[in-house]
Amino acid sequence: MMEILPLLVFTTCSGLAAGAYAVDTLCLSGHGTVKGGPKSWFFPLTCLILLAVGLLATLMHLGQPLRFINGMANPGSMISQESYWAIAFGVVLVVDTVLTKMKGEPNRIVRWVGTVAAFGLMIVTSIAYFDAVWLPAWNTAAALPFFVLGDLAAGAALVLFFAGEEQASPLYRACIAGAIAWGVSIVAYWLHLGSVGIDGAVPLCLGLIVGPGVMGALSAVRLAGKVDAKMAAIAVLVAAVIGLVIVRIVFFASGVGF
Amino acid sequence: MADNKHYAMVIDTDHCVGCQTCTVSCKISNEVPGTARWNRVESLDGDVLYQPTGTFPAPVLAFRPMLCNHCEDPACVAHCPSGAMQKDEQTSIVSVDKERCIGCGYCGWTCPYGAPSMDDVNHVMSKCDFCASTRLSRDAEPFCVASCPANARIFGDLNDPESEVSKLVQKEKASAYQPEHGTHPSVYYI
Repeated sequence: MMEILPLLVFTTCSGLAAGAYAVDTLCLSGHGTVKGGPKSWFFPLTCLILLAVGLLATLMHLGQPLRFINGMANPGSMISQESYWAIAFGVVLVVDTVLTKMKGEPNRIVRWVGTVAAFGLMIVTSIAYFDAVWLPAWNTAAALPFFVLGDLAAGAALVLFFAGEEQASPLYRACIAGAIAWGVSIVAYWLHLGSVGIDGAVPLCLGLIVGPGVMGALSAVRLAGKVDAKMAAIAVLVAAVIGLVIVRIVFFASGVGF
Repeated sequence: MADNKHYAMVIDTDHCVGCQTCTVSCKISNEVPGTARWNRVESLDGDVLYQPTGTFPAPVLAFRPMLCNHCEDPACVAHCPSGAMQKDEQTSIVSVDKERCIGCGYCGWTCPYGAPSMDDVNHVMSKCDFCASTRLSRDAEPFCVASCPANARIFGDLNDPESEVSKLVQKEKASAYQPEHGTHPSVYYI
C-alpha cells in the first residue's frame, strides 16, 4: 500500500481541486460558488489546500525527495509537465484566494486562467500514466477519461458542497452528467483490464456503485426534492470521494501492486 | 564523427540455455545493489519461465535474456523528468546520472523493456551500462557476455562493418525485440 499511497493521494487531492475549480467556472461562469459571503474565499482556499496536500504526497513517492526541483528539467516529460501545471494552478489559487477575500467575490479572469491550468494538470496527469508502456494496466487510452472525468465528477460534488441553494440545480445536473460520464470511463477501463488479463471486476464494480452510482442517484433524488439539501450535498461529496479512491486504488494496484 | 562507436549486442536464443549465469554474473560483478537487477531471463514465447510451450510432440523450452536495449531513441531519456537518464553519443550507451536522479521510477514505467531498476539502497534508478566503466574501459566485453557458457551473447561495435554484431544485423539474421515501440534498440535477437 505504501507503494501506491503517494500516487493515490496526489491524484485524488490535486484532481479533486482541479476538477472542482473547472466545474465551478464552467457551471457558474466564473462567478464563484458563494457570492459575497464570508465563505466565498473558502472555495479557492480549499482547492489550494487540496493541491498542496497532493503535491506533498508526491514527495513521498520520490526516492530522493530533496532533489524534487530536478524533476522539472525536462519539458518533454509528463512528470515535469505535471510540475509546471501544478505550480501554475497553485499560483492562480493563491491569487484567487487573496483577491476573493479582499473583494468579497472572485475575479472572473483569474477563474478562467485557473481553469486552463486545472485542465492542463488533469490532462498531463492522465497522459503520464498512458505513457507507461511497461505497465499494460496503465498503457491505455482509457486512462485519460478515467482520470479527467473522475476529477470533474468528484469536483462537481465538491462545488455542490460549497454552493448556495440558488446555485444548486445546475450543479446537481452537472453531478448527474458527470456521474454518467465517469461511470462509462470506469467501465471502459474495466474492459481494458480484462483485455490484458487483470481481474479488477469486484473492486471496480464496488467503486462504480459507490462513486457514480450513489452520486448520480442522490443528485437525481435531490432534484426531485425528496432529500434535505444539506444532507444531499454532503452525501454526494462523500460518495464521489470514496468512489474515486476505490477505483484509483484498483488502477494503481493493477500497475505496480500494493 | 567516424570515431563514434555504437555498442550493440546480439543474443542468440537458439544458444541460450536459460542458466541465468548472465544474471548472476551481472549482479555480483557489477555489485548491483539491493533488489535491483540489470539482467533477467524470460520465457521466449510463454508467460512462465522454465515452463515449455507448444504441444506434444514439439514442445519448446526457449529463453529471452533481457537487459537495457541502449536504444537510439530511448524512452527513458525522453520521459526522465530530471535529465538523469542520458545517452552518450560517443558510445550510444544509455546511463543514469545517480547524482541527478530523483528516484521517481518513471523511466522504468515508460521503457518498453522495463530495463531501469530501482536501487533500493541508494534510492535512485540503476541500469545496465554495458559495463562501460568496469569492462569496456579496459577493452573487455561486458560481464554477461564473458560469462555466458553457451556463447549466446555477441557484443561489438555496429559502426564497425567488420564486427560480428554488424554482420549478423546486416544479414538480417538478428532483429530487435518489439520494434513497434520505435525506440530503435541496440540489442538484437536471433
